[in-house]
Amino acid sequence: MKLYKKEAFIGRAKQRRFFDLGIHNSSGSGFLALLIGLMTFLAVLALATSFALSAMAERWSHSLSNQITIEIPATSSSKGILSTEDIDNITTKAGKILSRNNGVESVEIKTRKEVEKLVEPWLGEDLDLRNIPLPGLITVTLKETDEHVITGIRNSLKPLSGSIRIDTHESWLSDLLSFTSALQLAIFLIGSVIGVTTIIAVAGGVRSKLSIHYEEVEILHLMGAFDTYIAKQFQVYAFLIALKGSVIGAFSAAVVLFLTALLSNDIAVTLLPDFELSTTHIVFLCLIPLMAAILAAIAARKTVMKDLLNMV
Amino acid sequence: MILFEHVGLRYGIGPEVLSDIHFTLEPGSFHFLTGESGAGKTSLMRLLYLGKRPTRGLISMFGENINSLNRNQMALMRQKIGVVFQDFRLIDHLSAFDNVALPLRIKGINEKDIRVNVEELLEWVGLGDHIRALPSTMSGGQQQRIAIARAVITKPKLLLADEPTGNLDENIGLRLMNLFEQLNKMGTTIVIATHDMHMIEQFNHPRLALDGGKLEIKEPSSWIKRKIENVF
Repeated sequence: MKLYKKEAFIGRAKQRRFFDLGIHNSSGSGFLALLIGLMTFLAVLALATSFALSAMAERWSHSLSNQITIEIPATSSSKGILSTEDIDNITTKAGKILSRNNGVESVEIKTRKEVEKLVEPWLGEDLDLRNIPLPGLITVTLKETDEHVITGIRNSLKPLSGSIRIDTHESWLSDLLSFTSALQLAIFLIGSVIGVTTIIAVAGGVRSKLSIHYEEVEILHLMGAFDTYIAKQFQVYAFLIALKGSVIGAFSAAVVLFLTALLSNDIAVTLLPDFELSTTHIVFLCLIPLMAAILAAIAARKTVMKDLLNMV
Repeated sequence: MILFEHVGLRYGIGPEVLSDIHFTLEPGSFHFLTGESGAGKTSLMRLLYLGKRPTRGLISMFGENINSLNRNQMALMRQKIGVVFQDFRLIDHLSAFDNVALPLRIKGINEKDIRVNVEELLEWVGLGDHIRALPSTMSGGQQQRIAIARAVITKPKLLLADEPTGNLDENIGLRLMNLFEQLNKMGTTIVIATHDMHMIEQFNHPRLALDGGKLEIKEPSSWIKRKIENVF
């Protein structure tokens, strides 16, 4: 842009023009680049969130597969509140029964300290948990998740206590996965809106350029230029503008994601797994500017080819 | 050959600006197009450079009926025509070189050949030292020479020029008319719209005279004289 102003001032062109039409040095290019940059910024953030959610759901699903948790409640319908010794006693017996089960791969009895740590986020660090009755917890890894094995475990533990609960995590995990799927759908819709908005913005920008340079386009036509020759100029223009805008937008989004990752490491979020992106996801995110530029070029070409039909 | 058969042209729902135009231009012919302002010269030129399709009648160029051509065929047909517009219609952000090179680039000629041809032609029209100059910094006469160079660079089959020597001094005007004559001798069909009766008499070519949207072909007086001499 500066070069054109300088050349106009001295009245001489320094180099061969990349465009026959003066589309590159007329107003509106900066605004279009800014708009595409903003759209890319949002697209990268939306897509990164979607990838992170997908990775989180995968990790949750993977870590909880074939696992069940046996809970020995601190209260009994017949004896009321159980003592810590009683709970430990029942938990140890339950552990032995579970270890003998053929469908069980491993058994891990949670110590009282571990249980205290688990309830800490809900009850707070300052509370003295020594006098509070806490349930006994056993994490059981099954060879495979089979309803018969779970029924067998339930029946074998019944004699110890009628109130023992078996949590297969199924409903919790299912709700969580539905929630992440809904979020991903919302992100996909947002992404689609961003894509459509970009196409509309490029089409509008190109149409305005076409109208500004109508006479020059007509001259090219009268010299025998094919519609594709003229459309190519707008196509390259839209590609370069979109690439410029989207690289800036993607870089800004990368900075925001980096800062978010830094901040999330500082905040102790014990309920959620780490916010991580795989290398494939990062490569895909890096390709967004190129995809935005190609999308802009296609939108420009289609718009120009359609509008040129109304000309000579 | 260029053939107009009962051609009419109107803009929108207005009256016909050209009506029942009927003429033939033989390959390698040279015609002046004359007429008062508003007689329809620009409209006829527009039909000739395929800037408009007729509202009625038939136009045939180089053996093709232009009414039946699709957009790409129309573009190829236009590549055979060179036009010098009265208002030059140069592209402001392109240098003199790039303006003249434009028709060659559209035709897909390689850059090496373009450089040689364009520089040679610019030198010939006296603008060899203005190759990188932008049109906005050039005089009317210089711009006109760029427009003429752009029109002839592809050695078109048909050359149309609207008042091509209007802004030029007599010497340069004469030189450019000689260029048109040379192109004509090489087989280019030429139509020049002009008001310059002195030039018409000097070059002695037939006239397409437009009056109120009607066309009449007038042979030059020397031709008539020669034809009479041949008969007797």
